[in-house]
Amino acid sequence: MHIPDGFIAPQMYLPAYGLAAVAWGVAVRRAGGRMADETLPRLAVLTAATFVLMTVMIPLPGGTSIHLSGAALLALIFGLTNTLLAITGVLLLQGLLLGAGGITALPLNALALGLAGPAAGLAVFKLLRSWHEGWAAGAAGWVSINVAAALLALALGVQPLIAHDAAGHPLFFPFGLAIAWPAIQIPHLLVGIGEGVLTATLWQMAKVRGWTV
Amino acid sequence: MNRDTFWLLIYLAAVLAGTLVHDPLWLGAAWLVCLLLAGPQRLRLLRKTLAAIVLFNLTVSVGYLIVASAQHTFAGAYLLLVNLRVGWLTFLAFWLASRVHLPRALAFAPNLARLLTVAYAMTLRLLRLHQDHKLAQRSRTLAPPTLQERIAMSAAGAGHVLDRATHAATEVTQAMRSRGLFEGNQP
Repeated sequence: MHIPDGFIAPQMYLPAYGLAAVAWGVAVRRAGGRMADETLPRLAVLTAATFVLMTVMIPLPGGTSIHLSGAALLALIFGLTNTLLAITGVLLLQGLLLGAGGITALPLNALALGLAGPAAGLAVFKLLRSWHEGWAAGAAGWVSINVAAALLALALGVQPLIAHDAAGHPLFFPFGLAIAWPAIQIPHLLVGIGEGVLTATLWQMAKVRGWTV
Repeated sequence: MNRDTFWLLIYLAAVLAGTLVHDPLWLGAAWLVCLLLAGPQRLRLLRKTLAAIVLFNLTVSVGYLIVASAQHTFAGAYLLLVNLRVGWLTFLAFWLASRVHLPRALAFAPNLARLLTVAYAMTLRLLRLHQDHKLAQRSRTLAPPTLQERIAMSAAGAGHVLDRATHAATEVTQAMRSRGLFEGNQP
């Protein structure tokens, strides 16, 4: 559901870069040193799977798109810092190779899809894991994608307020929250079910292969 | 700073400038300059740009047309501005990708550069494996499979793709290590 390039005002994407730079710095430091031999290929495989999942997208009138992400699964297996790096990599590749997303939207997309969403998903998973691991993974997928969608809808919805000309016409994204939020959130309530099923299924597969902690 | 990192920084500066300009005339001029400087690949980049943005921009533009017309706030200049800007930013991204070696440009973050390299190779391999699996499945079934069979096939396919890709990724990582790509990362 990431935001395309050119719809976010510098008043928002520059501070977002500041915030993301801190998060990326922490992630690089934590992942730092030498990645274990088996971690890099596994992370790369799931990063590639995430890339493929995110590439199949349907545009929404609210200015974004719907697609599966797999970010919650990355968080469950590799933790938040590796997830942030992996999703950032996916977004960077998508922006430069496919023109999906882009450099001005990168920090917001990375923070929402790679950090806030997966963090919420991970919290839900930890909360529900003792009850039923499969359902907990599924709920993590649903929550992750919906939290990210809500944040991106918020970022888009405030654009007409923060960036408009003297006559009040928008300069970047044209729709306010009243249109952007339901247009983005409602489809994701349904897409989240697919994301939940995907997360739960791949979690089981990863568990069988001994990737999980 | 290497040449690729330098061009990455130039690109970032151009993107910032492009989002600070709100006059369609200036953005049109920027388009023209980029098309002239892009050389023989300009048409390929232009086609790629249009293909990448047409669906999104059409969706937003039509949405704006309907909503703004209903609210009597429609501004044609806005539609021109946003489409020129989105198109130009996307063109710049494709242009950069065609001229710059991304992992080298990201040399300041070695783990990210390595991850991107392996992930990109894996993406291509995953897409090919997926296609192979689909064709193999089609060639082995006479009648169309039931929903239950389709789910079982998809699960088996996903497991197969995951295993094959993991082995391939391990090979790539070992190849990178044997060629000394991880040397700079020794503790």
